[in-house]
Amino acid sequence: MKVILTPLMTVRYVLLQWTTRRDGCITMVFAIMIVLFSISLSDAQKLEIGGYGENETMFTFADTGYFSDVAKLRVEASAGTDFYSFESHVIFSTAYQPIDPILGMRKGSKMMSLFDGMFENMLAGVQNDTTLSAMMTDSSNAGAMDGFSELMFMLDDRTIRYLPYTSFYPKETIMLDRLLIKLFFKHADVYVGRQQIAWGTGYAFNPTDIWNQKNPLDVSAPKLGVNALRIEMPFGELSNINLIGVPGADLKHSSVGVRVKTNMLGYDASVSASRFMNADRVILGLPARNIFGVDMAGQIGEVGVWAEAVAINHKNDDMDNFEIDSTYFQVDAGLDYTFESGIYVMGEYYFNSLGHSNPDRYAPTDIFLQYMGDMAGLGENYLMLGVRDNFWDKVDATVFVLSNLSDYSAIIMPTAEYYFSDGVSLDFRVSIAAGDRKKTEFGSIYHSMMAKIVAYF
Amino acid sequence: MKKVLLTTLLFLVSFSLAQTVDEILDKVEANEEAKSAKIEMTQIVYTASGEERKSNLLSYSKDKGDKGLMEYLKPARIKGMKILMLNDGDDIWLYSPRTSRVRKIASHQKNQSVNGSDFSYDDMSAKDMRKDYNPQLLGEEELEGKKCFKLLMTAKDEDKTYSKSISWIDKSNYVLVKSEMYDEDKKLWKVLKMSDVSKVGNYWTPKSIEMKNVQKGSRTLMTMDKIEYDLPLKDNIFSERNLKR
Repeated sequence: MKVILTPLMTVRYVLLQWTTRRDGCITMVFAIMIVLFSISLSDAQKLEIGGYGENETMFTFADTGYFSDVAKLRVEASAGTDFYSFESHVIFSTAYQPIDPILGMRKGSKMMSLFDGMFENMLAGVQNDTTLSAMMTDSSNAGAMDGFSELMFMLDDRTIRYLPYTSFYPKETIMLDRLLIKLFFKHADVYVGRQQIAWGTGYAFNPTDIWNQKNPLDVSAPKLGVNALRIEMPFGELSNINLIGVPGADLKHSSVGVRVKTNMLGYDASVSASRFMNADRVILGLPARNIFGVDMAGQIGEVGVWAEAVAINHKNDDMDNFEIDSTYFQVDAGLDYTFESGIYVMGEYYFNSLGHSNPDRYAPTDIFLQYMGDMAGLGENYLMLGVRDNFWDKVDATVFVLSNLSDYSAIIMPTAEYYFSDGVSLDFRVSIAAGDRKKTEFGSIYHSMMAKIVAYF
Repeated sequence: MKKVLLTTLLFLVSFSLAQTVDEILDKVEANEEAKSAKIEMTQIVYTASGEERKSNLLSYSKDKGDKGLMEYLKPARIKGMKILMLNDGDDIWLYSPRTSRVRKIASHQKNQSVNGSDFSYDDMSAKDMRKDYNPQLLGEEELEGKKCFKLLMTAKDEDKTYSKSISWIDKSNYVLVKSEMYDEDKKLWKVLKMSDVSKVGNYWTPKSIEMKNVQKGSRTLMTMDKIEYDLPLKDNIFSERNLKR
């Protein structure tokens, strides 16, 4: 039996999503405004508001090429005194983009087959669950599924292609990047609320940065803040101890971490230890992670250097989807240099022992591990190379090449950023994928081009 | 009486000529060595294509410039960006508010422009020039109506930002009037000019500083809007902790 998603069901789903999100948005905006307003009234420090608005249009060179467009407003507000401060960053966005989040992958590609496998696993899980299975049966003619992409093909092509561009489809979203209160004591600063916790020194890869996760359903979305309690205890000008607690459903599904950072012999260096677990991982059947990390940044001669390394032990309590119980390692190391002419060059290498040196061994479960932050790619070895220069005062040109050395694929991204004025910039980027479509990670991606305008206020 | 005056003048002239380059630089540095300073400034970059870009900064310094902190107040694109300079500017950290990240800057970046201006990170740090350059007194010269000492500073190592510089120091107040800086190929690269000098507290202070990039055709004008010297500044202002606040 096949699932048939009728247009009526689609519209009902869409309306439900839209209504829920809309109410949530309104409530949240009200809450933020009340907090900001009350602080601005009660405090001698003035409320500062800034941010930016942007519009990004992308064209993807699929078999039948398509556009996507995202308009985004980021509002950053802060207020405070010498004893405390409040900070809030809210991102509002509206998007016209394809209904299928993996349409950026070529048909019949390696990544597409992995996504198919991943959704087959998920649907098999649903079918094995009697409650979920009954729900599916009640609301439709649910039955066996042959993969996510097949579901997409079953939908009317018109629905897939045009629904996201209509007014029926939920496209407004609100994301809270930060909403935190900082309390400053003599020997410690306490950060409570949603915040960015920037660990690590890498540019392209950050194996020690475990706190601010990518959205698994929207890989292009920014890394959002995490709800946490953080206590930072400084000692000296450049040293501190960070204690972090991220609440979960219960203690077992909460995360904790400690990091000690210092500066010695001209190098910034830190060691960290953490246990990471949350509800996302429970749902996906992923085990908790015990992580030990080190990182450094400094220079050798005139060349800037940085490195991060983590040893991660998956703790497989009652998780059964993944049988990773041995310790694995990830190492990131990079260097950069700026020539007197102003040309900047960088290179960064990433080793991931959880990845595969042979692309034939890429598995659907790797997608989960990648999107949940357990690893940054499917392969074992990656190299990022970049060069940047400034032209005619107003244009920054960059070319970045990210290559998967394990399957010999790469993504090449030339970008030009034009500064229209201090407050307005225009970005043009081309993304060229290279590699065997059926065998490689980056070879699976369609070529695309993007134009973005950003205005700051 | 005339003879006495003449003798005195001759003595003074010969004394000034007899000043060594180290004595001159000691006096220049003494004038720049406030215990602490807080300065609000406006920076305007005039690009080669005729554009103007304006920024506002707040800077703190302490221990005769050994510690420094700069924060961008405007424009919105870089508001909240902070630069911490320690050890006479040898060690520099950059804080980006959007990423909440503090990053140590390698020395190759110190030669690079600060936010598109004609000042490099190295230019912005107050450091003992004699640590990196060998000074030499070339003589005296009149510049813009001021009697000046003319100094040559030659880099001790090849990796320094400038291979050499020629500077004019006002004999009346020991304030730098002009400096020509040369690149590693000994070609004129930048010209620094200081003007609108007045006494703020105990220190002669130029309220206007212009850096011209001769090779690029751009210039940056930095105007001091408000200056406070020798005010009590806590040490923890110059810390990573304060960058993130």
